[in-house]
Amino acid sequence: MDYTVKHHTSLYTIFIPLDSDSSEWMLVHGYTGAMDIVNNNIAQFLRKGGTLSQEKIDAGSFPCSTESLERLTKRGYITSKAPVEEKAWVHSMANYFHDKSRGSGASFCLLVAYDCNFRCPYCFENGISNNGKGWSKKTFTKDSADRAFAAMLEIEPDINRISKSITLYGGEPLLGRNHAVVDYIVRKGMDLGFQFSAITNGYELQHYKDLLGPGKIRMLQITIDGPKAIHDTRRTHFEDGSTFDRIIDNIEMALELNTAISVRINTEVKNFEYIQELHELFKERGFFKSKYFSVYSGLIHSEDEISCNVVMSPQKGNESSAKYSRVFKELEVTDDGVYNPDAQYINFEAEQTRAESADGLVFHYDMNEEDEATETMRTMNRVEYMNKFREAYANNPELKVSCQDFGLPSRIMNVLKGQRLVEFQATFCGAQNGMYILDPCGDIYTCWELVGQDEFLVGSYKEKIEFDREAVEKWQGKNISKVDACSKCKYAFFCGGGCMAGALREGRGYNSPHCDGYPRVFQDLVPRTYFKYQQQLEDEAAGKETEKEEVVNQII
Amino acid sequence: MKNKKQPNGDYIEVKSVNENIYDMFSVEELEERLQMSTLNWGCGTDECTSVVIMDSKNR
Repeated sequence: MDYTVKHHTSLYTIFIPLDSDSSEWMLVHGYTGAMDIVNNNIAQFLRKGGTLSQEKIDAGSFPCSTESLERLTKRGYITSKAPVEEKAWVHSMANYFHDKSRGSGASFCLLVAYDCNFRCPYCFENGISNNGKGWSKKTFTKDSADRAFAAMLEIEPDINRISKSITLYGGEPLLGRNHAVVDYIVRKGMDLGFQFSAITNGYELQHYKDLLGPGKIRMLQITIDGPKAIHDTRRTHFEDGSTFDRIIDNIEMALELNTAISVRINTEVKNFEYIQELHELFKERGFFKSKYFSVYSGLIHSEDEISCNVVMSPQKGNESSAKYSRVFKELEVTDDGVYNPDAQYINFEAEQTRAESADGLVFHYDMNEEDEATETMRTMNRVEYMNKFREAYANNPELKVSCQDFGLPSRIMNVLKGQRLVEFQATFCGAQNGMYILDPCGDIYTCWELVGQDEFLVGSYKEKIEFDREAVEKWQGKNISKVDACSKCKYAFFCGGGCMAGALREGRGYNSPHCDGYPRVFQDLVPRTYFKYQQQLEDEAAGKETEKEEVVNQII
Repeated sequence: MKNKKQPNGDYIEVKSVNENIYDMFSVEELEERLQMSTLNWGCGTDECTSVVIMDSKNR
């Protein structure tokens, strides 16, 4: 390495203390994907962020051997790249990754009907039932299904580049009265080589026995929010009220037909404590004996999510800007001129100035989502949610309910075990990569959380495909390089910029991030995964049986 | 001063957890590396669809 050229700590270095006295640190690099353990002296030197030159090395100011210095440089933690050059590299990588995923083809959801037989208080589609367009009466017909299949091939003429799994969505797609058209859709799709999955409440599933199973509707996501007494207070049928018993019976029926069932528990503070009880009920019914059965928890978000968007793209005159003025203050350089190097965000302008003169910096802040409480529910932020699950797993190691952990433990474990490149993502989800939702009105959306809302239409397929290219580009053109906050974030290649619908609901526009507590979750889960891997190695060396792979997906 | 790593008395300065990284290579090299790796590109596959389902919110 040529250290006659000025080097400095890479701005994309993530520092994670591994123990309470910080004697060891894990470094993770935000664009090389390197993960290393270093001692405290090295960590502190890098965190200080000073420039490194041959003179300083000769003077012994770098606290390790030349070999270690070169290794840290090779891994990306020490770089000669100027801040703007690092940013430019991240941009080029992001665009490369996005092109790759965007170019991989198309996937489709058919929104069978906007109508639903449930009245769940937290449903994000509640708003569209009041939009005056009679959405609830819109259902696919055989003609519109034919048109939808034709439209798929007009959107992506190469059928081999279309995902072989089509998702049926709603409203409630599997209402009993929809059977004829769903039967038509499934059988026509099967003839074309497709299989199906569906997001359903499971209440009228008994009408679909003939369509369930491998090769047909092979997978169902069904939501159950707790044991009967809890579930029935929130997932109520508009006429019948109680829904729990029938859904459980229908799950049993579907499992017997070898249909994969993914039970989702929409989770907030008040139903969290009942997850264990629900788990026991599933156990008693013998569901866990089926390889087709799994359960996961989904965090119910509050409407007022305060994330780093507030910091990175404050809206002038917005109350939240004033409310979080403390945050902005913390972003400034401290009196001693040292920025917080453990932070999420990078101030490239200041960094560039400092790099041209002396030291480097980074900073961040990530506010909690504000909680929202009602009589039956109280939302919580991501960190509280994860802590609750960790405690639950500690209390019951047999608990087979996975939680939304951004897939981080499995992703990191894959790196550790397989020694593969860490999976980076420049985007968050399929909405940015060729997923289309075709609804019964002949409209096309990219995001299924925003269906039925005119402002989020991207096209129509009524007689021919008509895309609003500008609208499509707002989704498919967005990756972390297009978002100011994400471009400045060390974690961006891990999180992909977050849920666009979440950011849009905050009123922050298309090119905003949705952090959802990601940095703190990362700081928590990555070292836990590492320790778990180390433990597995030690157990293997000692001849002990290692845990099953499925447990990897739980918080460690 | 170096930190103690393990009870056996070993000391470390830098211990790499993973070896395979996105090094500072060109885009062409990136392409080559990625073809050698088994990455899930996140979309258009059955696996991806199931992931998307898992992430659907508040349904």
